[in-house]
Amino acid sequence: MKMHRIKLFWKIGDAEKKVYAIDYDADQEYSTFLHKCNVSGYRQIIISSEVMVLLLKKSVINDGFQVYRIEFQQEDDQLQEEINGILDQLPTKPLLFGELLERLKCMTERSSIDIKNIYIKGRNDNGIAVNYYVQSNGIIGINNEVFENISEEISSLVAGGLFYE
Amino acid sequence: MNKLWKLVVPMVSAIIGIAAISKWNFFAHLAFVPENMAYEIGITVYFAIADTLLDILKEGIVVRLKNSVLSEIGVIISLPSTEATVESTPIIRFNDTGQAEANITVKIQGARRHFKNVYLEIPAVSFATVQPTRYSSEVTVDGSGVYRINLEKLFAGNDRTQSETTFRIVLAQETVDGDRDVMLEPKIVKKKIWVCYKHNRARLEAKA
Repeated sequence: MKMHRIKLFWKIGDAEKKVYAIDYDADQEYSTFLHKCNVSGYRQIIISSEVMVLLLKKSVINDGFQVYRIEFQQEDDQLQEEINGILDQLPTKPLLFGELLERLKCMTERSSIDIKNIYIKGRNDNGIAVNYYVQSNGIIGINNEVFENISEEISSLVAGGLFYE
Repeated sequence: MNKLWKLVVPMVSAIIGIAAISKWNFFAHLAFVPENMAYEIGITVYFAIADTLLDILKEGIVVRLKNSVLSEIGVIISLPSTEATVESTPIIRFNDTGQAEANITVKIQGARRHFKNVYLEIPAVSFATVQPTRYSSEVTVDGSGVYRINLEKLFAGNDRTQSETTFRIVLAQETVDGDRDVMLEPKIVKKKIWVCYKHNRARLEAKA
């Protein structure tokens, strides 16, 4: 499954904040890519843990997708094991999603950049496979087949979570 | 003001004391106080009482004036899960993925009219982008990257407040060609002279 990667930015000079999704080729050096964007007036967007939780809620509750992996900034084996345990059981015990959210919300009270990556998969209403990941540094990878819709949805959710209500 | 008060108080308390004792000397009615000493004892005690009453009056006036005329705001930048004071200068460093976070705690005591169109600003940084962790109606980041808190909104429509609000910010490191650091200093824009402002600063460090 080929992934289309983008990174989210806002742009200097915009009177009203808008989220820009710029294509990011993983073969390109990240710092060169960042520098080019910076020179063009783009400023990075961090997807905070609070917004990650919003994304998880939307993907799982609204879209019916499955979250299958969550990674954290801090290496904490016990926490990772605990979260992995919940994620493994989620397909058969969907009610555990509430517990997962509670656990993540507790974490966001301590740190807003602790959730590093989330991985989501599932099928959309047309039965097409959906697979994407979201990184706290604003990089998003989405399988080509559903790229347009999913990237638009994520961009608009991030814009809402950070800049509007 | 304090010095003027210190000059005025002895005179006023003397006038009050003499006026009071000329009306009624309590000590003249005590059998065990010799008649020729009743006035001296009375005037000494009346002076002291007048002095104390004036002090109490002064405190009341100062508190009232402070509450109605002055407002106070304190802004503390701190690292998450740490304490900071106006004297401390926390150091904010980016993690391996070029992200950092901090808290901005705003304590306000005063009147809303003193904060009309008044903003707290964290100026833009050339090598980092500041943003809120979630949308908040009190916070904006303008088109040039200045993080701004609308202080009037912290009153939630009330005329007065005594409140403490913590805003969480995250920072993304932009590309740098060498180590960089900058002092983040919260500024109040359009501060009125009757607003007393105390704040600390934080050092933001970026490694190449």
